Amino acid sequence: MAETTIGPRTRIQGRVTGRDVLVVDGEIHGTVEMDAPIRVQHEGRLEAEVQGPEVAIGGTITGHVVGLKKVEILPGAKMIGDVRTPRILISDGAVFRGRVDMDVGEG
Amino acid sequence: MADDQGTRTEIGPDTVVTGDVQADEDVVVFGRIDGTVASTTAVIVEEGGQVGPRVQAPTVIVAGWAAGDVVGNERVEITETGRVAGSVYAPRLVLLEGGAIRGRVVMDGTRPESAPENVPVARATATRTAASAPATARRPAAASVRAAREPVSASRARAAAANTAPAAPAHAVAGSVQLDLGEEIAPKDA
Repeated sequence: MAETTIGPRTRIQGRVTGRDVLVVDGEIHGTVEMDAPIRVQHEGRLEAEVQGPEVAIGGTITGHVVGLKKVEILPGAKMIGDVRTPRILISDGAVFRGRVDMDVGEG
Repeated sequence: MADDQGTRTEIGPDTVVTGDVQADEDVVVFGRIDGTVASTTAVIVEEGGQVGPRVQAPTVIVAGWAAGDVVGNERVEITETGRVAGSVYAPRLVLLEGGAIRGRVVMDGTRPESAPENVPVARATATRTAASAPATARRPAAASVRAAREPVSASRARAAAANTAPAAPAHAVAGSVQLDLGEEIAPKDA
């Protein structure tokens, strides 16, 4: 599977969609909607509505996250906003402020 | 020049970005960006990649398809597979055999009015004029040994690692270039 990488010194304002794995080291403001796993690295920052089959958060997200299969909030992550997913992992050392809705069917 | 920190942004072949992309690192596009792409180093549109309506960087390399304004503050290269439908603003332009432009070429250092300020202004260095048909564009030695399907960014990275400068452009063109490309210039369906 091909990959899209947003570098640490890149800022996107708008909408990112597609079927590539998305790895974010930089910033996205807007909407992210992928049909493949999304990973926000430690330096990555999203102010966005985020949807993907699996969303791994190691950086900062402000906004709503929908993980159709799974959401992981990793150590060092800062998640501000609501999460909707059937499976969620919150690691020790993660900061999370928001609601969790696990009442969705498997994606 | 670019990539000195080894970081870059890469838009995958099955990714569409709608909006503005601003980078202080190379942006390599295998997929599609509908909007503005600006980098303080380089933007490389790989074969199959599509960008527009504006691309701006010190170096812009088009091996895919670009629509609108292509602004290279230092240099624009259109490879054998590159297609540009719009205006090219650059003090130095390389158009390899097989590459195509439909639109204006401006090499006197002016930029489109709405060009953002975050990238250095191009210096007006083009003083020579030369024939503008693609057949006369001399192919740099580096390009002719490039593997057929290898991404431009890969050979560029290798050249940077080997500390060899990209081949200097053979010609400078002042004025307008109009090439009728018919259907050929149209973008492929993403």
